[in-house]
Amino acid sequence: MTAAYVHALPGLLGKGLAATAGISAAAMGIALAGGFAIGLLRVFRNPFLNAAALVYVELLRGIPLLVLMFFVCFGLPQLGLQIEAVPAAVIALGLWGAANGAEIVRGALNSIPAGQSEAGAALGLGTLEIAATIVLPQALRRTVAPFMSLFTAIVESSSLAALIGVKEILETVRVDIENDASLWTPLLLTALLLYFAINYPISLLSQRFERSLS
Amino acid sequence: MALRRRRALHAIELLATARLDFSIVRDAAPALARGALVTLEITLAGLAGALAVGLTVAALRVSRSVPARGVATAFAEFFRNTPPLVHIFFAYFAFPAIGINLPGFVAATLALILYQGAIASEILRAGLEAVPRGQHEAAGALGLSEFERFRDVIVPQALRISLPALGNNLISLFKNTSLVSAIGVLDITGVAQDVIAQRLSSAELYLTLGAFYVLCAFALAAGLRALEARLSRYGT
Repeated sequence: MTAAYVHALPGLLGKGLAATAGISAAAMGIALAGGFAIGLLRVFRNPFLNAAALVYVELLRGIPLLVLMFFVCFGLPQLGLQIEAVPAAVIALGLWGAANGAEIVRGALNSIPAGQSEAGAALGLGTLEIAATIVLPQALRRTVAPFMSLFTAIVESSSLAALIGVKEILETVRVDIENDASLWTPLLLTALLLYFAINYPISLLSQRFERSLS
Repeated sequence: MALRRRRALHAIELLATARLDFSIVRDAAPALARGALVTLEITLAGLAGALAVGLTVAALRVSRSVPARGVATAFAEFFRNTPPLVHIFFAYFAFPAIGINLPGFVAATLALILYQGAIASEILRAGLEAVPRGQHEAAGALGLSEFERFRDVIVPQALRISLPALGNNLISLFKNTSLVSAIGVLDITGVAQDVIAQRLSSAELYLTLGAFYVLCAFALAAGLRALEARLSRYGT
């Protein structure tokens, strides 16, 4: 068993870890860009854009990520849209992350006291100037810790890609175990430690950042 | 712009010409309903378990004992920073190696309880710490024992403070129950996948599943808001 375990390690630490990191990073990019775009739409006064953003956020936060991922990977082909497993995982994770990111941005913008924009207006600044120089910089700082938490959630959730056949950490473990069932415990423990090693530092950093703001 | 319009039209065309046949959902309705019941059972068991684990771990994390604090913190940090899907796999596939054979339903529910419980402990710890010092002192002045103080004075207030975040955790638990299908438990997602495997048609079932989860999550959120409003009448 020890030899088989050692034999399985390079695949897990190499390609498996790289896939998890790559999928998570790409999804985080979508979550950041989409989160800011949709979050800003929600605080604008245009009722149509506001409603569209609200529906997007509520729908994507209400559906389990697993169902969304299955739909993108297995449901869309029936509607004429073929997507490979890796892009499907990135798209599903990214769309889900963007909805959560939008809530982070909206929460941060709403947490800036109205007195701040009123003070800006009293100084004779225009709406755009107030947004760019007073509200956004303060709000931006408040999004940092929640976005770090979102990233740890994305890393955790990237394990769902195993269920559509993406060879990330968990799927690499599953494939190795098909040959040797005695590897379940050591390999799953290794996988857990890998996820922990990625997420725990980010989670600590996020907590520290949050404390430094209060 | 023209390109985007063309793409949008193309997507609408695809939807219109796609062969969506919801009779497959109608045929599977009884099985899906049984699956929904399993989803509900796991959610309820998970809620009770996660609250118990969360409260115990949170109490240890604010206790004076250094080893207790260390163990509780390690538990919470480990479980909330690792994927619940891997916990489920571990409980189902790795436990038998050390002589513990759990049925899928039990293994999956246990794994979800540990993950959501770790998150609940973080929420409840913040809630316990937010109860003002004076409440501890006042309860002590009334002659209540340490346990009575905790159970009758501090915990009820901490629960009320934590309610919004605990509510989000409940909704997250409800959605995460779909993960149990990965080890073959027949919750509503598991049933849908079985039907898909037999009928080779999936979009209708995924859309129905999505609607089921969104509607239930909405109902849960509305119920939680009503509960919050009711409790806030008593002040904090």
